[in-house]
Amino acid sequence: MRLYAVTPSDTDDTVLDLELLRNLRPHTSPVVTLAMDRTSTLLATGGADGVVKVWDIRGGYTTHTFHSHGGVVSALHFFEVETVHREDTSESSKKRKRRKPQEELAQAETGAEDSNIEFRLASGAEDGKIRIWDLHKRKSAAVLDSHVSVVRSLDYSTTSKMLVSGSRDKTVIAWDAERWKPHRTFAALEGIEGAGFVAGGTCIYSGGENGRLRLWSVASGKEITQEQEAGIETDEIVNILHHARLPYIVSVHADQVLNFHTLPVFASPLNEETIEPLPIFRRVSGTHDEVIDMAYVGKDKSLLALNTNSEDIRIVTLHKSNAGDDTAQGRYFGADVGLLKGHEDIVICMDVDWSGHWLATGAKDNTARLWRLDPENDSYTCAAVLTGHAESLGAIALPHAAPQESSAAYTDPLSHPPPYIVTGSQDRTVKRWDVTKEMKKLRAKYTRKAHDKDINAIDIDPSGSLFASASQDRTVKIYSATEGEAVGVLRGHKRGVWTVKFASKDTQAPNSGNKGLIATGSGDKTVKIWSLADYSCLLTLEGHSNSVLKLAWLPYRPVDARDKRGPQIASAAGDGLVKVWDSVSGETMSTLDNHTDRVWALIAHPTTGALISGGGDSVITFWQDTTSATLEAATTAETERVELDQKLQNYAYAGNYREAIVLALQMDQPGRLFSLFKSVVETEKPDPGSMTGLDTVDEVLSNLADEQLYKLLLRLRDWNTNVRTAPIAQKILWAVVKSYPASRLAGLRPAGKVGAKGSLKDVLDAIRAYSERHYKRVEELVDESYLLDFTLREMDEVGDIKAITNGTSHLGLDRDAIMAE
Amino acid sequence: MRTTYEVDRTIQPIYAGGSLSLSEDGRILAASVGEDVLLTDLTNGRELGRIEGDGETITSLACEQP
Repeated sequence: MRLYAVTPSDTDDTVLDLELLRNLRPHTSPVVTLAMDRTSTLLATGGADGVVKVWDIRGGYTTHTFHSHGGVVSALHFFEVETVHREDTSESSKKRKRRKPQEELAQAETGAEDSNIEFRLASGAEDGKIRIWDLHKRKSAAVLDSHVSVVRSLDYSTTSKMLVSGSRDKTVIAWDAERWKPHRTFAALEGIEGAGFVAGGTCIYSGGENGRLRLWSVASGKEITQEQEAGIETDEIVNILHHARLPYIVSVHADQVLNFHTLPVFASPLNEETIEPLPIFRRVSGTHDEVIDMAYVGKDKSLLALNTNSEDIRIVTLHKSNAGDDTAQGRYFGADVGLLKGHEDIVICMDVDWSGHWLATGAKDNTARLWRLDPENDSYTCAAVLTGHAESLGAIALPHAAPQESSAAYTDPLSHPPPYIVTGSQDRTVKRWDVTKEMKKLRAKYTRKAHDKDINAIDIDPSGSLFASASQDRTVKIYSATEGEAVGVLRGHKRGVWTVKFASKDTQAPNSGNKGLIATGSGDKTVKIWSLADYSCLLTLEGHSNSVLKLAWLPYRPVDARDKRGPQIASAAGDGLVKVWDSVSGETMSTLDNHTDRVWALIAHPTTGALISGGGDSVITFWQDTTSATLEAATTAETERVELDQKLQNYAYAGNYREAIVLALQMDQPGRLFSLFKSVVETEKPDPGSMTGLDTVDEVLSNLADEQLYKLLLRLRDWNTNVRTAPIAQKILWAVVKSYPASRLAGLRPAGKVGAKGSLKDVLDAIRAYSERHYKRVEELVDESYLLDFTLREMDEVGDIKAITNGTSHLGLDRDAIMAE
Repeated sequence: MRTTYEVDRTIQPIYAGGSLSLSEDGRILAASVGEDVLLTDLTNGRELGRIEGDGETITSLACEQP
């Protein structure tokens, strides 16, 4: 068990600092439930071992241990009761508590007689028993034995002096806190996971197995909300979040969805009239589970429809602004704004028309649905249900051609549904459905037996005259859209084909008149590009290490007729990667890596070329095309480098060493700095008495700012490690050490953040270690030179070449001497 | 020719089943995602903080505003 303090960050409003306060091992078995009191002074833990412990949060020690529960502790709730002065209102006592929580605690622990507020803890267990603990007397105040199954929820109302408990035994009980007897039992007829008080303790909310939030009157025991039909398994309520100050209740469902329900205005006394179920004003998807498919919604592509491996299609907003005036509404980027409910089993496939206002979905319930999406009016409705297939639908497609810009269909797409829909099913047939005015019941125009195995994908070509079906039988078939006659078969994939996409009208297969291209992705890990002129495979793109699951052509706009660059296609695969390919050369242009599981879904923005990928890891990634920015950055960097180079050379040439050294230090250009120093040290005409060789450089070195000096030391450390560069480093180091008092050098700190990596000590240690090594080497050299001297002298006595050799040997000695210095 | 792509934004899970808790003003949701606990600002969807897990399942969490 860990306790964290959460405080707003000093530097960034949008981040909270989390500080680990304590790390405790409270129980020998897992902690199943936690509760804190209102003032954050006490914490209660309930273990799987049936033990309840109370902790002082600041002190980190146990204040109480209660052992009476037999089974797992399943619910805990702190509350306060008035014991002596009944006339005190709970309002004033709350205020008092807030002012002096510490004092109250002290009183609570000593059980002071004059305190009129006492701490109680209610704990519920798996066996249905609820125990009330008096924290002052450190003993059980009552045992409430009415539930026969796990107690899931406890809440106390100070106004009505009642405790409410919800249990999986399908009942909710309101307990009278004076006598600790059941005041009323509510037969919910569903396992309860969450229950609590609203409206000053006169009303109880509950939720559980049926997935519906319900309200009950404490006075009459009647259900206030009208009867609601039970939801399916994923609708089950697993938790309910509510605080007294909030005007809403949040129900948490089994599919990790949070529903925000508006609370009605309660009359006092409570009106017993039956009301409508509490309206849901907001939905938050905790996770999108597996993102199977996606589609842009709306003409401006500002929404995204998600197929998340469930019966419903979720619609989220992509508006980047946080312009939500009502903060509880929360219409931020990625927030849920719509839900398409209708399918009775998992949705498998979907497609959107050119306008983004009509969405077709196919599901495991053997039906397809056409949805009318009107984001402006927040209206998302099912326009038609397509029944006729004998098995689950695996593929669906709508025509993507945009009508003429002057036509009514273009200006008002919401009243012009797509002309037809093509569906493919596990029953191995494809059907074409013509959309008529009488939308409600559409009938298939034709049905064609298409493949020997499942149909995985269907796509309609940009002109609307052809469609293609991809199947698990490894083939893709091309049909005429009007008659449904097969006109071509694409054979070549070694495994089932998962995805098929026609290229846009502008792309043409080479030497084919004006026939276009089609791309397929398969379980054999390849993407193939085919010509629609003769149905031959033009190119096989290899690079993925798992099945290619989805393809998307990027928008293609050739600059002019001579522009030979081909269209690009993006592929998403089971290896977690998205790849962008050149469909002419077959080269991978880019590999996009941000998923840890299969990437099922991939779409490209029709104008910007931005990509969105989604997969089994519940993550949806928005990819931005940064090609021009990257190019620009590379060009700028190159220009800068050239300019800098020139500038440095100019300075060095003009003898402006100060500027040159400062610039080289500032630009972090060790190579240039070194060649600069090298030219100084090896200058042909050294200034007499100068340490480095030139007086001006000596002066520059003795007048560096702390930050520059530190940087210089770092460079010297690096150069010193190399035999080739060490002599220069030694010389400069010598000049630096001579120019500054030791205290100044010792006071140097790495620039930037406190605690940045590396300290002065490390730098100096490194310099010293290598310097010592250099000295040792020089000493060895000197020793060797003596041997040489000796040998030469001996040889001199033999021959008369003394003059030349002697000269050389002395020269060698001199050089060594310089280095040793 | 497009050659480079970068991650612009992501939509990630903020609650993946298990325990969760809401701050008293309804702004912050603390919820378990796998072995981590994620703090989310429900007014703008931003991640406020993440408590890295220790490899053990989160069985319970509670938050309180003093």
